[in-house]
Amino acid sequence: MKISSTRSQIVALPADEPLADAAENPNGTRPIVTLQIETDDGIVGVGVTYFGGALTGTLRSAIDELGALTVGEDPLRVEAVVAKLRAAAGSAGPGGIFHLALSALDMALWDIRGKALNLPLWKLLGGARERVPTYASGALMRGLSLDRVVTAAGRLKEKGFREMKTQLALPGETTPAIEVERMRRVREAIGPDIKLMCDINQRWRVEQAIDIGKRVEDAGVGLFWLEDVTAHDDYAGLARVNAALTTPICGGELVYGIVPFRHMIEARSVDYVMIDLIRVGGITPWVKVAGMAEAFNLPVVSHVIPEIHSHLIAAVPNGLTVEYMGWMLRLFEGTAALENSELVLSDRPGLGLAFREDTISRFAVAS
Amino acid sequence: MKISTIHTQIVALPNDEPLAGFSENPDATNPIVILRVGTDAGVEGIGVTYFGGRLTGTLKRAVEELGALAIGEDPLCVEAVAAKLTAAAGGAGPGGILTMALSAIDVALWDIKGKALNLPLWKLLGGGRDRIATYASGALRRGLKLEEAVTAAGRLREKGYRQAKMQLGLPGITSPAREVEQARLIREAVGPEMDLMCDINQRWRVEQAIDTGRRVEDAGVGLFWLEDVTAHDDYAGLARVAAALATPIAGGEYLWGIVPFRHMIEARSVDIVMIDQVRCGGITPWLKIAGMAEAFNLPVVSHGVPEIHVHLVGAVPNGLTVEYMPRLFRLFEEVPVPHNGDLVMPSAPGLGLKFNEETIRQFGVT
Repeated sequence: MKISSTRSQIVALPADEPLADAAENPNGTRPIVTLQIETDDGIVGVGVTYFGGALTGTLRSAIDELGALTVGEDPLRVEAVVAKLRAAAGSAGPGGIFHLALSALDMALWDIRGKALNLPLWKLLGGARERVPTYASGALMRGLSLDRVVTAAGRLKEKGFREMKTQLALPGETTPAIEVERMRRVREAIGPDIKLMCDINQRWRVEQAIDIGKRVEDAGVGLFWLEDVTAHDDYAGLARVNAALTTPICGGELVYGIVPFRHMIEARSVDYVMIDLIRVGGITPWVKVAGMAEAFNLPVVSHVIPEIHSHLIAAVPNGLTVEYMGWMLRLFEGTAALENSELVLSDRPGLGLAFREDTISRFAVAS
Repeated sequence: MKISTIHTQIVALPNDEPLAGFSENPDATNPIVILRVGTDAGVEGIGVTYFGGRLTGTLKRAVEELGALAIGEDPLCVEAVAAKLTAAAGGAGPGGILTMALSAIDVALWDIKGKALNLPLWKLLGGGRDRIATYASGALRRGLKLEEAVTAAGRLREKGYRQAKMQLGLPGITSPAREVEQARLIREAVGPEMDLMCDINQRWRVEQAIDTGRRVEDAGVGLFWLEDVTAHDDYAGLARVAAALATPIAGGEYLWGIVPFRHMIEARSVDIVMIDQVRCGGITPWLKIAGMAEAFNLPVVSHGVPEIHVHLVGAVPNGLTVEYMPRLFRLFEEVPVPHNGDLVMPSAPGLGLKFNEETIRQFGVT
């Protein structure tokens, strides 16, 4: 089997919030680059990448330039294809746009592999279980007013989510007391039994994270994890917070490739390793990081794109929960079914996903 | 003053080797993205970026997309411009193509600042000294035959260079004995007084670096530094090599931004900090890293593009030597030329560089 062509497209999806109808910025859009890799056997693999922001045209250009180099290669030899791309463009990495582009190619190759072998990816990659816990994410963002976030939290509970994530480090004027009060009210709205995560998105300094984190603990909020409490690459600073709080510390979505995970894990910066499929460089490195985390006795969780991460979290023994982030729900057919706050994997081969052509034609962007 | 225009162009320069005449790969080209930033005051700044390889078209696109966001901003406020561009596209970084593109913009803004203030950059940035040591680089690469490398080494000596860099981690079938022999013969050709550096470009494993490094020491080659001995982000592995060898260990050219330098320096991975102004994100972060290195009692050296780095290594008190790598020479009308092994600081304001329009016409890529 050989790769015969690659095709990319930018799609600007509306920045809505389908889980609790609580969009922070309802007029915004999320630019996604879609990729299809075709083979001479007629098997087509799909991939996506994002995080390009104002450089989304650049990101698409990277996929096209790298994609052209894959034509004629054997799609099952993922490591050989990646080695070729690294050699051709490796000085533009590791990390950054090169990695974001590589990940789309890598996942499309895995999709082809699963289809060629007639196995769903979660099973091909290990098949630890066919249902995985998932948590509602993106609905309780810091940009919402206190009233809106409390209402949205109640809606998520009514919809049956048993895990959900909110955010602190509030915009504008805030104080430790305001931060704690928001957490207390969200907890009140959902009751004591729901797992509640909280994302800081690197907005605190180390001493702030320890101070507010302790106050949230003292208020009895009971967080399942506290995420990205300070700069993602301040491994020593993260380790200080981790040692100071009993709340589990989660992080990893912002690092590129596999090596920084080694530094983060060796420094004992986190209790839960969050691996982002796009920034890590695709499914191949995602699985390596999960294996390293397992060796360090740490669980792994995913970041965005549950459509693909459900396969990965289900495949590995230390997969804890899948972030159910609704960004790309309308882009795909075949997403794992959400039942009782769990995602149920299907037997469709590969990723089991197809692009919804109506979505693509409606939101396609010329570039 | 406001930024009013952005213009980019890819130029594929010939991969010749003007210092000693032996090119590893004479038919190849080095693709460079050049940038011109115009202002409403008529001051123009220039910048360059590279390392794009087969993604050079993508790199040019990144400079254009970021550059468009810089229009209307005050070019003197480099931190504010960087903050705006990073906010717009920061999810695509830090690191990689975003950082490489930011560096071209940062360099052009510093060029504008120097011209606006009528000061050469080395003086604007600190003015540590008016001349700086420089070493011949790119002339003694591992792809050359041993005889070629030895001949080239002799030519560098004849030309008056007092420092030169070679490479080990030889291609094809090699052995510790062959590696040592290559170093020994090159030392013989350059004589005992030349500072001789040796670059491994991450090709050794840790235990190999310690073994071959010790054999080179035992053979009396006397290296000024041994560079990038293993994977650049294996900070602990590098520290093992640095601890095991008496030869100074240099590294840092592969790191993005300022934070990884902290990890590398904290781990005691290197004795000499090499800062690449393209990968670190431009002149602004270059200076921060140099300051951090100074606080750790470490010297700094540059990687590539001596036309720009001469200003930076010359500006800071802990600047050790400038890599004299001729890849971009024909891109500029005039470049700094060594006198008695030193580069004299430029006197024209800003970078003191002008693009050679004839070169751009000849080698421009559409």
